[in-house]
Amino acid sequence: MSKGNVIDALELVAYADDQLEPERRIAVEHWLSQHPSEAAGIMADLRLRGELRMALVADEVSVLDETELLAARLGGKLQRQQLFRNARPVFAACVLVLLGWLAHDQVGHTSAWASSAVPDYVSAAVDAHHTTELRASMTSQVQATEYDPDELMAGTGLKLPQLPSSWTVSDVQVYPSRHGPSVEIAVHTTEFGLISIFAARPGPFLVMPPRTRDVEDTTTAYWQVGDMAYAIVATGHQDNVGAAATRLFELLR
Amino acid sequence: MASWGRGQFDVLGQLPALRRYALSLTRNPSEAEDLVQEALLRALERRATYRAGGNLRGWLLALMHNLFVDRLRSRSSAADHESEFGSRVALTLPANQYDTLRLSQVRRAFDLLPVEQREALHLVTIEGLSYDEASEVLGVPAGTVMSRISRGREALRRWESGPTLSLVKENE
Repeated sequence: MSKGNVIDALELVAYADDQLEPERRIAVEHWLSQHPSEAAGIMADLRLRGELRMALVADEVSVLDETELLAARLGGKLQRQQLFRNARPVFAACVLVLLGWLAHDQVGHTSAWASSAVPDYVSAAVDAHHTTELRASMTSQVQATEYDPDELMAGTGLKLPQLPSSWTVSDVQVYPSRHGPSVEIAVHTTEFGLISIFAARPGPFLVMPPRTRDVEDTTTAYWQVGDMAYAIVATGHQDNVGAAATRLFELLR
Repeated sequence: MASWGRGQFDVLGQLPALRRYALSLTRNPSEAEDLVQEALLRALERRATYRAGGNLRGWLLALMHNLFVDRLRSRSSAADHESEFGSRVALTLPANQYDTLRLSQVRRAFDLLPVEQREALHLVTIEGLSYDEASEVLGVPAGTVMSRISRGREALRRWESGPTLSLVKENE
């Protein structure tokens, strides 16, 4: 008898569970065609399997809302865990680049900090800042002083901070940009003077803590959390702008 | 860059499979929902053990399975649980075109199988897991999964061919 004709009892089990390689499957079917009583047994198994599936699918568990909430929470946590695991190498790379720059700085080649090296969204933020200055000087331009982060979130998908109560918003503008709308808010602050807060989606995913840089006649601080990027544009000292950025970075976490 | 789609961690989408399995294990609808909730809580606590790109359903089923086994051990004896079930009468009749009495009888016969056979049969024949996947969930070798399925099927065939049927009716 050739090996193909020997059917193991376990192979019959695997056949009924649909877990045989095509070749073995055919061998089993050939064998079953010559063994009607075993074939009838397999058919009975398959019938019971179908019936069990029907019986169990139709069965109602006493469903609770809490279970759905728990499931959604777990899904979210796993998602964030995954994002974090994926972002870790990127973050490590950022730290290395930053350390490189710092080491460079120590040696005294600060001129290497070219303002052209800032991300696109920072340049856009500086442009928006200048536009706002211009608008403020023109009496014909109406300033929008209503600032509602939730409404802006609903309209633009951009997450914006709740500002400290001592800060007054003097203008809110939505600008088009490559990856959807961006928002610029002009704010009078007691601590840092007049600043522009700019939020946009730059495209790439990154986690980067605030860093400061002089761009044109302004001082900027910018950072990125996931797919959201932020920039502060002001005319104050780098330390002040950096402090404002750190404050907002914390508020947005 | 990898996709950040929600589908990757669709725990909500796994709920029907979790509930079905919990029901096969506990054979009691409200206990089943409790077990699912506990399993989700345990998963939240142990989410760091989930491997990237792992099988979400398998991971959740295994957590729930281990939880159930722990529960059984902590009871005074598994036999109590079995006899408690014998006295349970109500069985939801599925509402579809198929002979509902027949389905509830098959369901009852399945519920009367020993838990090892029930869980192996459930995972492979109802949820469609491979022997390897089921072996991971149950923490036993694939060969053991197969032999449990085989014994479960034999018991169901015996039930089908006669005497057990009257026993089931007595219970009702």
